[in-house]
Amino acid sequence: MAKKIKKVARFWPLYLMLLPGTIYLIINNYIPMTGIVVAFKQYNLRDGLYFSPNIGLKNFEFLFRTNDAWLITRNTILYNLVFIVLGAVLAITVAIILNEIRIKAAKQAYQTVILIPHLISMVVVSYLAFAFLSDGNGFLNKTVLPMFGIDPISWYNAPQYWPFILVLINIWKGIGYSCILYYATICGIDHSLYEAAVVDGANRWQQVWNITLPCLKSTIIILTLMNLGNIFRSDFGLFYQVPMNSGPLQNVTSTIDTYVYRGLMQTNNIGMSSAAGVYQSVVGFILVISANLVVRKVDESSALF
Amino acid sequence: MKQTMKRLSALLLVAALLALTLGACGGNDKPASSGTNSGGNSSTPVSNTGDDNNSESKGNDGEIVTLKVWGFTNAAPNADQINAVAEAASEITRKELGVEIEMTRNFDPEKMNLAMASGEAWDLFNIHSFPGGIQALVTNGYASPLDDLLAEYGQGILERQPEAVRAGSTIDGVLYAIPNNADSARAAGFAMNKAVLDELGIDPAGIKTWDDVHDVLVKVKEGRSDLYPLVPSWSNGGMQEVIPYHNFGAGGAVLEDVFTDSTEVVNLYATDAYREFCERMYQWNKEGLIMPDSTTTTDNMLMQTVGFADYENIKPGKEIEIKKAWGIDAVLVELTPPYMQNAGGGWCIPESSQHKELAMQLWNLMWTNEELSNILINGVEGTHWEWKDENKDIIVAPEGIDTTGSSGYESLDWAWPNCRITAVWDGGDPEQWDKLQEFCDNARISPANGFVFNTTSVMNEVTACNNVVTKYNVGLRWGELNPDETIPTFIAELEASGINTIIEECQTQLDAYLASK
Repeated sequence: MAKKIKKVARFWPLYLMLLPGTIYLIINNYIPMTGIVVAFKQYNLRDGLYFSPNIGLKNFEFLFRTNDAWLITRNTILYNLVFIVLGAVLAITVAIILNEIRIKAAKQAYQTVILIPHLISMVVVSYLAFAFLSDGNGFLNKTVLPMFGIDPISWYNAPQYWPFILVLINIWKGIGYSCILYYATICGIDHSLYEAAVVDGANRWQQVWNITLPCLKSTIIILTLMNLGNIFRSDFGLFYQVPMNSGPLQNVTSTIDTYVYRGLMQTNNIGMSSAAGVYQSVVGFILVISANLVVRKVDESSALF
Repeated sequence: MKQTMKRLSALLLVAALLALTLGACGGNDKPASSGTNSGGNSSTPVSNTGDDNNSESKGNDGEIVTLKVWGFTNAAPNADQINAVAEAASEITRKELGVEIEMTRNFDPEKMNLAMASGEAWDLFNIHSFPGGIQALVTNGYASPLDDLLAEYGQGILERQPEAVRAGSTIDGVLYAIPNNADSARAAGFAMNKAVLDELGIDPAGIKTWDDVHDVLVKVKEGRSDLYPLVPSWSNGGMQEVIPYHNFGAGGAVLEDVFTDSTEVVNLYATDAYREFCERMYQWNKEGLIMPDSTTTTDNMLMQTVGFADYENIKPGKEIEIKKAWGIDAVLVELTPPYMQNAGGGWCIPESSQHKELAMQLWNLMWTNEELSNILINGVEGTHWEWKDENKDIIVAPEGIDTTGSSGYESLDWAWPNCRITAVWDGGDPEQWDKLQEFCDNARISPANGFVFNTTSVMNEVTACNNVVTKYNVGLRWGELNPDETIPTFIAELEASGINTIIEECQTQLDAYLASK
């Protein structure tokens, strides 16, 4: 114990630096958590958050007692799995390619161009997509398709294309950011490893396979674990704004978030919308914990905690 | 690993300590805020006898009370203009009630929801397009009961408004909102650009039926290829309703036709009227009469730019309203005669208001004081409007001033408590307000007028049905989906989602309501 106190005394500036972030986290993330009770209540402002009548799990029913329960769960999970896997593969590929570029100015230019979409709001992205896909004036229907002699396609009424469009947009938008994380790890890899490999006669591909990827392993695991926690959530902008809330697309664009929004925006039920949030968080929490357990079993040093 | 655990536990310890300190702070805060709360609620009733109440409406420290008013606008709100108007209005309210006004205007349902859900202390709140309507305001406990306040401070309102208009804002015998003294009834049909009709030599008087409208749209398509003959009323396939059903606001449960005496609740999307409408629109769409992208467009004022006609609510004075908003002369084609189903809309006093008595007095003043009402609706004299003549009953926009709200102050008469005591805009009918009164008085009243459906017990079904409706409704209405194929699927999905349970519950409640009347 005395040793511990001594340690704290010795490193006190570090603990002090930790303080603002911790306070922020508590105020912003932990205190509001008590509001979770609203998911189990028939909320009304007069009685307030904590004193509205309790109704048990009734708020959760609407998520399961609908024919769409399967559809929205399937869409949410499948899209997220594709985003996680494809996103990681492409981001790593781009990071490795970036690392191979030797001219500094070119490297920075590429990095900036790849990152820009991440900084654009989803609402703006939806207009960009609309410029391509609009029935009457879209770039695809007016310019690209006629070049190949294909009839115009009514994109916002054609659900079969949207899984690809959504994946494309999500990857295009997200790749810059996740690629930076991988790229930073790659930059941190000890150069002597590569030098040794060159001495041993390894070609570029063998270097990537035997040095870069193994060194990236823990970053990949951490990022994937964190993404798994959000597997029951979806980017509302991507699934609601980008398809312009078009009805005929709903079978492929409806996720838990958009379902809750569409269903409850008109009835304004705070308890039920909170219940959906709680459900998503609890499932995400369980997934992260269990995935981490598995990772720890396989390779303890890579586990998140 | 052990190392990390230790660090983690240290972190948790710090976190716990902090939580305690902060918790203590929170503890200190609470009594203070609840103190002001109770102080506000128990404030002594203020008498409404003119100037001598100044002392009572002032707070303990002699500050003048500021009432926060939330108005509605269709345009993007312009804070500077709104503040200027609030200041001009405050001059009157300071004199009459000893209070000042702070004002905002907004049209965004999510912002409204946030303002209410966060318990922000608004004193008067325009509930137009509030998500979930009066039902949500009441079940969430957002709106205060008004009966006592109205009886005590609302004489001006009681004198001017028939009780039937308030029936739809009364839930379980308690009044929660008061509709505006505007268009409690509506007719519906098309608005068409007059300049285009003139150019093509079409006589507006000859347009009476759906077929006439069709012929006009075809002529416009041929004669003015730069215009879309029919455009949405607002973004994402917005459409003013032309099918005269009584809507209970729950997934499609309606009375099919308010012009009959039937009180049988049915599924709107399974009615003949809906099917015929969708078939007609499908046909028009195939003929190229409807703007492409109409269900996905994000533009709100298409008539101003690329459109010739749209679906509109119709009432006396609508022409000048369109002229003000879009700057075009319109011809109105009425296809659905005037009717009233739960007048609705209007204003409420939020439960979070700390000056409910004063808010009611201000509300009453808005109903009775011509000058105040005129300022709130039309803006500041000289800046936003000026008198056309000496008589001071007609107003015009000053040179170079825009009335559409994009740069100025949007004049939206029906969104304020009492437009009928304000000046008429130049170009409008001087008798406009009397004609509006007559229009409302002669409108058909829905047999279910006054009934508000309590959806609490069928919430799961309503949520599921709302999702099905968003999937098909807009596409069908704009003729993008083939009704022959889609409507049967639509109905089947609605039934699987429990529309019949909703209808049954609605019918039970409606019958009980009618029996008790």
